[in-house]
Amino acid sequence: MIRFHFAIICISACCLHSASAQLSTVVSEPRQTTQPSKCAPGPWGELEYYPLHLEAPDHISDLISSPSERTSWHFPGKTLEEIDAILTAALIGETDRQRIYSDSNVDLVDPPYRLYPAADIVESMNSLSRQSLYRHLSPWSENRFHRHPFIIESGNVRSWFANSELSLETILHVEKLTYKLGNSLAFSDVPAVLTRINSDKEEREFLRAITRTRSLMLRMTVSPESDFPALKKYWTLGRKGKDLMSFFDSISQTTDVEKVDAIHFLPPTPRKYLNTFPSLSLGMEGQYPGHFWTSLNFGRFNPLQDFDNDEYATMYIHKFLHPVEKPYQFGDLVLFFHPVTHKIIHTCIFVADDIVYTKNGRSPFNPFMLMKLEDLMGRLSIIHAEPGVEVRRKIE
Amino acid sequence: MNIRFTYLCLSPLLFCMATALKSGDALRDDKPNSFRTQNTQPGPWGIIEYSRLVLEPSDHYIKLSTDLEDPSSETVWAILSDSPEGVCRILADAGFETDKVASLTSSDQMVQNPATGWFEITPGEKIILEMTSEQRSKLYPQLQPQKPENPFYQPFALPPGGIREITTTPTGLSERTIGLIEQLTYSKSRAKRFSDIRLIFSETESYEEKVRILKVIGREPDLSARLIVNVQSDLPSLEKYWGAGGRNRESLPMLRSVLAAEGVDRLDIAHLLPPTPRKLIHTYPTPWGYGINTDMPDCFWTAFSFFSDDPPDRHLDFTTHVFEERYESALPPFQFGDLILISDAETGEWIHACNLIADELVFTKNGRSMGRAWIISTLPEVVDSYFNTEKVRVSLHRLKPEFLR
Repeated sequence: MIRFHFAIICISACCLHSASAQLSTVVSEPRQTTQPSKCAPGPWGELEYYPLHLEAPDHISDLISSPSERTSWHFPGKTLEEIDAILTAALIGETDRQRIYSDSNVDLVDPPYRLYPAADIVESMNSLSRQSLYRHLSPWSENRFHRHPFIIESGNVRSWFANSELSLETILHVEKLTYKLGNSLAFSDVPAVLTRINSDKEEREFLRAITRTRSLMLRMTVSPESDFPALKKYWTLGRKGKDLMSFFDSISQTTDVEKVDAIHFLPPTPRKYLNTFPSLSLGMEGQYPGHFWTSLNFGRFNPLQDFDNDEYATMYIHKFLHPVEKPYQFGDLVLFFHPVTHKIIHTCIFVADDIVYTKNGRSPFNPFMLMKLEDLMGRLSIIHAEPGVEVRRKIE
Repeated sequence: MNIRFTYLCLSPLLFCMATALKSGDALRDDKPNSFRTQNTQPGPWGIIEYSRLVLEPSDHYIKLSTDLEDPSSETVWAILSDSPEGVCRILADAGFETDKVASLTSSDQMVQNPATGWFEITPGEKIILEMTSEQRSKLYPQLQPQKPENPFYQPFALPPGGIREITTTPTGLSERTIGLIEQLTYSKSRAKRFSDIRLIFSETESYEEKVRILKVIGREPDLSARLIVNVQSDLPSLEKYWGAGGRNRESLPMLRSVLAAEGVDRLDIAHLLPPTPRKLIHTYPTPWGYGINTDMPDCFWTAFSFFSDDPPDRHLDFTTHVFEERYESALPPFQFGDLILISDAETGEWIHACNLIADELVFTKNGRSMGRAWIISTLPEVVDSYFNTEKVRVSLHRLKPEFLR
């Protein structure tokens, strides 16, 4: 079994300054590249991709329960002394700390403690303070936006929200409230931004915009020089992909098509869902599809609902898929596991080079998408500091 | 093509359309071999660029063909008649000259099969090659047995441009073989048909070559289509069109994101299709796919399932009540996903159904067979393919608003 561990995304005092320097660098990147990025050459052919920012459609974004503009920090199980140490480590000054305690009436309430910092205090925190404090808040589900912060993989807030209906003022406000998380930027202070929004329309646009997720539009460049037999072998998954062969042959014999969207190389089920948010019908079984369902149904024409059961899915993986080493193949299962318990925390499908097909969570706000493996690692590292990675393939 | 339903419906406006189609005014006059990347007319759908693809059924499917069960057998015409004179009348009505009728019905060439009672004629290569398109179109539908495996009763359906339209890419066949298929192709109204597979097989030397022939004859012209994205792209208009009044809202995030992404100049139409056609486009049915036992999805299943998240198996049974209760006549401007029904103008029988994508592009599955793919085509091509009666009607229908998802 080959397992490799990715670097720990840790936030320690010694690296805060360098992180800050990186932050200023990434935020000043150009708005948007106009040329596609290229994948490394390989048996998958000549691939290029554009980043896409998928935003939940209205019927899903309307499901977002608008939070109060009053920020709240929950500290279940912590004493006031422990909380004070956490805030102090997050560089929140004595005066501000006392204001927070006073406004939160900590002397009058029983634990678990909830703090209600004023908006000006939240806004005055710098990125490093947020990194430090929000790391402590993230384990508790009561801290909704800290547990599941909005991730801006590009590290560029302005390009992330480009072409949204948000005002520049709001975008700049979000930018100011982001913090570094792995190789990405994160944003948790939804209530603080709401304090500056005065129109219902912009508030709805804001709540929709923060559902944005970066996916990829992947294309293959084909020409008469392309090695079509090799490409066909890679993308058709052997027997399982034979319904794609006619399309492949057709593409190989025409000179009129130079770029082929990778959606056509996917098996029927992922082709059906790529770059879409789950429809309501997918929740009819009582829950929306998660990563197991998405990965294990990749090559199945008719998805098997049993894969929504984590226990069954785990049993299936261990029984029917065996670990493999590089070179990885299209359709291989990439699984991420807890370094100590070895419990599977996420799965996705290897597509080509460093691109995977994934659904990052059960929520209807999580689309079926393509992602760079390193970006996915960054997301997983938010909760699981050092996930192990293993690649498995179906036993024929 | 299975004709299963009887329905007569046509608005005056669409009657004009049907008439225009019959007279050929609305049909593309491009030569099949000259197909190059083209653009649709601009419209609320934007501008769509499309290129020709040619799909070919898999070896696996072709090798199941009954045509390969006895590939060396000679062509035999089996005619149901109560007497040899009746056979003569059938041949004469098909346009054979008197001396040829006499020759074909002589005891040298015709015998009566004691098991079936059919008169069986062995016409020979010369007669078959000399036949006109009209003679084939009159005689072949009468030949026994009246079963799908009989290529005279259920001929191979070629595209409107004939075999040349699907041999623009390498075939592995000789020019002589392709020329023979072209010579033996006949017209049934506008539709092109081919039945003389036995004669073609007699010219071949190997099983593999016969498989190649069946694969080439089974080819289907398809289109690869892409929405052109540029600074003129009007997002609200595009959202309104492709969202189809809420029926296709899952595709809108992708549309929005692509329009917002600088550098992207084309969006494959597959991304804009609803879930079911997106899952099926450019592929053939498979035994592990949709369908029950040997009952496979056909054009009606496809058309009525266009906006379904999961196509109901019920559409394999019948769809008349769905049509009657859920659909209404569609008036211009026509919309994405509108159901296009092609029917026999005389009898009202349903012949084919497909769905409008944009301009003249449609999503269609031409037949129930596993050898027919889900493709993008143009409406004139589809109409020509099914124009095998005196007059066809084309009508457009739309889900009633109360069936919005």
